[in-house]
Amino acid sequence: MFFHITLERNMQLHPRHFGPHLRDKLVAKLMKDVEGTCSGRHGFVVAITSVEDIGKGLIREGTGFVTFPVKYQCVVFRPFKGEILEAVVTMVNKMGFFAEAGPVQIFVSNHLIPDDMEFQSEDVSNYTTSDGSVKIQKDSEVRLKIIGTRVDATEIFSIGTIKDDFLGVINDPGAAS
Amino acid sequence: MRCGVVATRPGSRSCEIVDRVIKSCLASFDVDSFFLYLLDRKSGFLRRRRELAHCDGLESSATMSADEDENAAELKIGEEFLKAKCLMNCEVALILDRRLEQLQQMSDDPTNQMSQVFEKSHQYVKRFSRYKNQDAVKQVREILSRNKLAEFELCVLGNLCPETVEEAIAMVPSLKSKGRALEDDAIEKMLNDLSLIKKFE
Repeated sequence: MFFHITLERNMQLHPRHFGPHLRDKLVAKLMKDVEGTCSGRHGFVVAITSVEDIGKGLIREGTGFVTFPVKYQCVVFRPFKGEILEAVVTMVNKMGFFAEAGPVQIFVSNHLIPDDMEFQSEDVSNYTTSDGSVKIQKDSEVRLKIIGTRVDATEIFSIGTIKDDFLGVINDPGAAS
Repeated sequence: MRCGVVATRPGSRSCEIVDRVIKSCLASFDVDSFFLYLLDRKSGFLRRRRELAHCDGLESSATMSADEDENAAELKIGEEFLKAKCLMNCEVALILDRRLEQLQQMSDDPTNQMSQVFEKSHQYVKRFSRYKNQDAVKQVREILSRNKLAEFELCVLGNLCPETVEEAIAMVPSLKSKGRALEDDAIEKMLNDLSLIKKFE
């Protein structure tokens, strides 16, 4: 799920940037530093939408750098256990398949794929029901439920399932198979 | 050593957590005094628990259990995110589109400035946003917010657009949790309104 939250960060700025454009420099540096990063607590920072407040700067002894506390609003993406979302399949193998929901990778093991779906290793590997009506392959859109997340310093990795009611391949926007 | 007992309504879901905290207190420490708190809101309880954790040095066990308890189906997503504004995919698409425009105006070559996270998110929301124009997005939020839904529930419904009441409850089990007086009829009306917007968009 995407969220719009307010975060805080201490920014260090080199003295050469001091001047009439100090604020712009600070905001540009904030965007460069923060956007695209990931923390276990808040998830992936997708985009900064506004800078709420820049506090008083504090000169650091010895270096001349100044530290500003900056409060900013941003769009973050964070997957939660138990959340149901849609994702695009990126890879299929006999262990299961990988899907992507925005920046997050989700793995669905073959134990968590309905039992009537079998792995087929044709030229495009896929999971297919015995009657061939439902097929999961690369670029399929699936609706899945997240059952676990592992959080690294720079990445969030999730485990999902499609073995539940109303989960699985989406044929048509709004309808799950 | 201090330890607290928190009394919740019988059967409420925080009882379970309370039990666990009490047990861990009893197991590891002698108990000098008990606080009795009547709380019906989990947020208040969590704050209290954190205070207790600080004064008792139980911090590690408390923060760990807070993570273990995460379950979006029961709306346990942490206080911070519960209070935060959730965004539907279609809203994120609007925001990121505008952002991309801004960047394109600022420089001729916007592609090398984009982080991978931004790009992937942008592709994702473009692919999965149900409503394309801004007015429709506004209306969707308005319809959903009439029903006293939590932000998170609102966005799950807006993202997945379930067609039947049964499907909606499967997607958002917390709709039918205890203490919620949301009738099937109300859910059905809401879903109908949503599909109408989709049709007339």
